[in-house]
Amino acid sequence: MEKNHSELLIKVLEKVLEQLAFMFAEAVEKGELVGERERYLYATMTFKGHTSGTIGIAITEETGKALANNILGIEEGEEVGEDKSIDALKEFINIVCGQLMTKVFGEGPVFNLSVPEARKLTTEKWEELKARPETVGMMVEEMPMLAHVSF
Amino acid sequence: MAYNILVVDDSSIIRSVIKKTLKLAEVPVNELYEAENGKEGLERLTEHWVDLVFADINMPVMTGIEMIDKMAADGLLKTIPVVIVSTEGSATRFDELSKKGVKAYIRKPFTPEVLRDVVKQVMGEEGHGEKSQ
Repeated sequence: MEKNHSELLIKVLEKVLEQLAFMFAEAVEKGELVGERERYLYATMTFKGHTSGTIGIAITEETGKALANNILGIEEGEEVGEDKSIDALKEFINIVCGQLMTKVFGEGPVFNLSVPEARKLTTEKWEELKARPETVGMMVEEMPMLAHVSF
Repeated sequence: MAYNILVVDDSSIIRSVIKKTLKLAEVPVNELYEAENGKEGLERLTEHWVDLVFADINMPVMTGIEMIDKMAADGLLKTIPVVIVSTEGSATRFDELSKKGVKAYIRKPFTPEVLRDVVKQVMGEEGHGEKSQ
């Protein structure tokens, strides 16, 4: 991923998290993202237009719960189901993808966005994703997040 | 006047957010119906009287655009105003949708104020498509 694309991705992730879920995020060195026995969720989607590609976001299950809670305005302590966490992550990546397309290519081109898909991720797969050069690392309110986009 | 509103989005989160935001924005709602895709949306429209539709574009089974095309082909359904609520930000896309009769376009994420203003504009002064971000 080109440096300017990863910088744009980070900016979009920060903005969408703040506007959608009132959560604050910052880019960090991937080495700082040490998770032990965490359970992870991973969402991906594709975009097709004059340029095609894939975007992916991985978060901990805890972050998924916090994301769903914040989007829905659920008080701390109340439980949201796993389906809501997954749904929240899918909506998050959907909005990030749309915003990123505008940031990179402007308002002219039309992109066909796929329906986001999400699945659970093992610690091994999380580490593999983290090791990929195109992946960026972020901390969302002290919880780790990985993201990547390829054009 | 309280409105019967249909929200068509495959995300239960977004359906809940729209429901909550309508309340926060003090939009008078009589009944709020939900559908997970365009096909279900058309079913709700034949089952209930609906004053306003909020619809996403990218959904499985039937997209929002396909649903709008089906509505346009129906003498009664084509009179119901549709507001697109989508993540897409293409002006070209908005122009295409305006030509299909879409009244307004709200880009996610949105605030209660944007939703309130769009409802006011669409239900109060129909016929003036506007992009809201």
